Amino acid sequence: MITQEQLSGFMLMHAAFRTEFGRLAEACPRPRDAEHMDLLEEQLALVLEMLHAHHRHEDETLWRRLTGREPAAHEAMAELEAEHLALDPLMRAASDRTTPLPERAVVLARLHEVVNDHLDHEEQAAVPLMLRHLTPEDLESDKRTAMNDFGRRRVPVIFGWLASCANDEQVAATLADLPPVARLMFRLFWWPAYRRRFAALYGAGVPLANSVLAG
Amino acid sequence: MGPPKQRALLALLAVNADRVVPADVLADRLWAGAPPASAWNSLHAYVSRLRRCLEPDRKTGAAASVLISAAGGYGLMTDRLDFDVREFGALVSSGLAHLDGGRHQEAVESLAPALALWRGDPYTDVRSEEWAQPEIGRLGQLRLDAVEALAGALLELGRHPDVVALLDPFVRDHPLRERAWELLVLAHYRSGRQAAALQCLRTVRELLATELGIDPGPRLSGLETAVLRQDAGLLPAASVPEPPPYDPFAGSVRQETGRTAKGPFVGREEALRVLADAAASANGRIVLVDGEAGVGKTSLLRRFCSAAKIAVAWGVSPDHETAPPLWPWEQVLRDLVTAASLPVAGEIAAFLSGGLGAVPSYDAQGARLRFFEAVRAFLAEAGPVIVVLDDLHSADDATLRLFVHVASALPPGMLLLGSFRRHEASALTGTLSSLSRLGARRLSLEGLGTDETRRLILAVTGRDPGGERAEELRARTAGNPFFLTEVARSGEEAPQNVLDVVLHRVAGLGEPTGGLLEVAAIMGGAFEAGIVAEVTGRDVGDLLPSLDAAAAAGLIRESASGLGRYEFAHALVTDALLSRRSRLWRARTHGMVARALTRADGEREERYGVIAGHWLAAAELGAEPARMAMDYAARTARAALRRHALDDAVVSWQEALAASVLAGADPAERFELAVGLAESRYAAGRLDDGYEAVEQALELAGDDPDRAVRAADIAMAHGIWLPFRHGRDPVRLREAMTAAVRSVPEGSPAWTLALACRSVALAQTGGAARLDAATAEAVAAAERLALVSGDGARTGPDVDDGSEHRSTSAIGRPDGELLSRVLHLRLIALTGQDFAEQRADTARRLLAHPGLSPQLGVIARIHLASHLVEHGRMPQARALLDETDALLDELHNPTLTCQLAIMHTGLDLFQRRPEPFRHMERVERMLSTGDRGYFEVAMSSQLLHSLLEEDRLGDELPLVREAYERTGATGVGHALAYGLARRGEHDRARTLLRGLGLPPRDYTWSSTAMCRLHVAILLAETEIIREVHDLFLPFAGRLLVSGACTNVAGAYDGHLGEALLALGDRAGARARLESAVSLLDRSGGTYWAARARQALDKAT
Repeated sequence: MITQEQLSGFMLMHAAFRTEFGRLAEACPRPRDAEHMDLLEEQLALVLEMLHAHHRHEDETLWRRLTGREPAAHEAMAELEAEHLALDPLMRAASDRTTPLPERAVVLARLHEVVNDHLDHEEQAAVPLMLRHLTPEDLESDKRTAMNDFGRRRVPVIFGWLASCANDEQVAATLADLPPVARLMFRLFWWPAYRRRFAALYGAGVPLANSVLAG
Repeated sequence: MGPPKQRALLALLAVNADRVVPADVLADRLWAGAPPASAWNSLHAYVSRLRRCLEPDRKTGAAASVLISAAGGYGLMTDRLDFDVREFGALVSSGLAHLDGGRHQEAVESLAPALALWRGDPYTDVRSEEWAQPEIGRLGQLRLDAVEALAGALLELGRHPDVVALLDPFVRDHPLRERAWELLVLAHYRSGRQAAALQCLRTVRELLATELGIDPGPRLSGLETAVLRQDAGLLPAASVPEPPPYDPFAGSVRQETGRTAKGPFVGREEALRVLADAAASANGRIVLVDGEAGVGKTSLLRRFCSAAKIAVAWGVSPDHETAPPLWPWEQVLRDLVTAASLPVAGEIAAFLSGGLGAVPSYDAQGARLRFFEAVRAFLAEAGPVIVVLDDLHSADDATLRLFVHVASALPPGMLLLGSFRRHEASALTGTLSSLSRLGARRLSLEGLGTDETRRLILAVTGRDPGGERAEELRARTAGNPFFLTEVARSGEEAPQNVLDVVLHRVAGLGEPTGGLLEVAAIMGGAFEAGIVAEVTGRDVGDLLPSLDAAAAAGLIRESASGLGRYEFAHALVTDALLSRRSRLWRARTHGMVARALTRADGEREERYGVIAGHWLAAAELGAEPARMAMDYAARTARAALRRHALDDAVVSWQEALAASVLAGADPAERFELAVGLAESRYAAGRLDDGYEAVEQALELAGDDPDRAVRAADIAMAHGIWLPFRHGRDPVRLREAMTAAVRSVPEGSPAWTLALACRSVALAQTGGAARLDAATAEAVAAAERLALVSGDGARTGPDVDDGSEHRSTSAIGRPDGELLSRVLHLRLIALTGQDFAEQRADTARRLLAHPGLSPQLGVIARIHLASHLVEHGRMPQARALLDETDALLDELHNPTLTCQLAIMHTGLDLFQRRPEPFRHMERVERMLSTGDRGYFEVAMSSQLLHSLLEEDRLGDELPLVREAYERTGATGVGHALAYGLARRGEHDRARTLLRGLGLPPRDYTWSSTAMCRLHVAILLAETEIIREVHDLFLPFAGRLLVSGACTNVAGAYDGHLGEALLALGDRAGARARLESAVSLLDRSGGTYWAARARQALDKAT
């Protein structure tokens, strides 16, 4: 049994997936120049890799854990897993660099819709089970797995990305959950660098999802 | 053994061992074809006595079982005897079989005991008997073969001294054995004694000539040529293919890792073929292997390399701990030193011995590029070689840069292979796109198929799972070989995901072992039993059963780097072990490991990163670990700078600063870290980020003006131009310098530098009025200081504590250097055409300065050359640029080299030389992303100018409009107005022109004003024409140069003449245009000269 608050990391990941494909779909049709195009490609690759890792973790670990503890959930979990499979062709199309980035914008817009629908379903079907059946130890282990998936080189950018998609409570909860060194690294270096990256990606006009970090 | 005949009988039976020999044959042989009548009795007596010797325990009357009698004959049955001949034969034949199978160690283990059985010559008693000859001959031949086979196996194992010890006497006894000579030659050669190898070849050639009157066979002859050529083919077929994990234990010399079994390998024929194709092709000799963790990237590369006929050098980036930057390349270089016996010198030698010194930040990028070039030259010298960089997703920034650098001009014969985890590729985006531009191939590894899965399970467990079960396992593991192997070892009840399978197997080893492995995993991919024992409070001896069990389970293996050292079998094992403990447990364990490592290795530079990592992970436990984290992170940063890892140093400084907050460090300490961060960022060419750190340092400097000046000095950077992004107002720096000028004694070093820095900050925002006077004042003060102290002497308190990041600080630097710095800052502050003469004068003074850094020498020459161009003295300018080119060839400074390329391009455009942009293409690969922005601005400005000259701005309106919308730059706006006017869209052009003002009088002013003038002429905007005319008047007689020859846009007189013509003053126009034509003809400005002539025609 865990609380909604303890699930904030998972929910934050969802918030980030819900937001970023939309942003990319907006920006990709008109890259300013080659450098901007490269940056958008990198961001897209990052988000797709994260989505892949997220799905893999759910399919290989999380759903099995839940059905293990509540066998009746089997069907619902199988449905979610099937939805992951259904997303694969879209994800492949989105990452296919033989198609110029601007032409992939429609794929990204579609991905944005489908991912949001899927996450609606997941949050309605799986989150109550997670709250009921997961333990704090499970969450700790999942967090480690997630950090491994992030990889050393990408951690600063990934945290910046998550923060750019988080609402006020999520930012506060995530920061509170980080070890102090990481929290300081985030405040002093990762976030300022990501803000520059964010402006370079989407322009200064695109709003962040929160007020804590916007100022 | 009795009388000679009796011994001969035994020999005769032995020669025909395990066979019954008829008695008459025996008699016939013993008595040489003429047995006397007594022969039968004698024979019988000999047999009886031999039986007593051979079977002393045989009861009387019992049947003999060794020397048996049957069917009118006797036979020696050896199965119950220690029969050396039989044993020798068996050992030799199994040794030869091992050798054929490439199992060299096993071959040695058979052949060496076989030869030890050899005691004197066989059958000495009967050596003259004819019947003994065939057997004596067979045994002798077998022995010779065995010696050579043993030597061959030892050679493959790299045991060169043993080969020499074995063969040296052997070839003396058997001088005509060419195979032995061949092996001896190879042993000498591979242990670096080329001369000894050649001497052997000479000896055998002479022997063969004198003894047999023949030449050596083709193998020996070929060998001689190869030794002389130092052919790479002489090296072992699979030299050092072992990919050693990051070995934190090895000191300056890495131990050769042993040939540990790495598990079975199945399938991958297609992938191996792709690699072989790449190796065989002339192009596309860069291959990047990607795939999921555990899919077998490393195994594939190892397999490919083990079959290679050329040297292999292997570097790997550790997944779990902080190796020193460039660690994978260090491994590669060490492998090459070993495998190719290459001599090392210069920077490579310094790098491998940990002796790289501190690099001044003005030279950081040049030094890095010089080092990269040295590495490439070294690789080229190694000849045909395979270089593997494994696990690039975990690589440090410098390693990736060097990878791209080597790939950008791959040495001939080199095959460059890399691997990375597919789903971490976004961390490598820049690297991968550079490599793909360079023609790198991607080889994506997927999971194994059902059939391969079946073979793998069979190989792991020894049992065929059958097709159905194999398919089931494949589906479950996606054919991931690591996962499959773990599941196979785990048995039926294995959990569903790979990490859980590993944990399940760990759990199977029992609690003490599991707990111990978790502690070990905290240490990363490799660990030392001693440290684990210390952390867990136990004796190493107590740990051994657990370690043995884990090794037997294939989760860890003993490291070849030393006794008591282990490594995890795969990064996924470490991942699994780290997944289940609490944050507090991890922090505490990291703290204990940090303490133990600090005690053991605290002063070893290559260990700073690892130690810092542990302290950082423990920093939340309190101020003391946080302070240790701060200290070691700062040490790591300094060490990274010495290893040319500028961006990696940036990360470590950031970690030090984060830890300093937790440590409660005071502002003075944190200031030093912020200064380190700023310097590293500037050294990496990241000016914007650097300035942020400078602001942080200024804040931490508080009221201390000396510190503020040091921070400001860093922000001045080491380039040619203002060191701030266009449009940024360095307000905090300006204010801090204003305060410093007021608060420190006038004329002191700090005051002098503060004055100069403030001038640069003011120049950025167009505060031109007092800059000339202020910087002149600063120069005068610096000159006085240099005069007082004697040039080059140190003055002022030496506040340095030995940390090199202060080496370019303002205070405490020699006054001679202070003077050159202030002159440099004056050059930077005085931008635009208004200060052309002052810049030339300052540049001359710099060049006269003793002990000037070569970088500043280049900067001064660039300014002087630009000044020569302004006066139309092209040959002198070109000569000076050639001289500068030569200097830069040595320095490899990317920023300055690119600046010079821009100058060459600008001059070529002006003089209409063919292919002016070739200069930029040549240097483009030197550009870091930090520099790129500036050079793209320069190039697009050159492009706009050439469009204007070719009168194509009207045709290219969309491009120009897009550029204007993107940059909002006034200069581009005027180019757009010009294009509109040329297309006849006068109203829009006029609206735009009137909306645009002139920029501040910086480096963009003159060319923008020029463009403004010509738009105004097209539109007959007389007021603007008159305005620009008046502004240009003071520059009459010169060429219009913007930047450092980014553009040479004709002569001011030409523009003045066209202006006067438009205003109706034909006489005035003629005078101007005539002088323009003369200057432009003299300086070779073809286009502008023709244009002036055209205008002159209109004026007459």
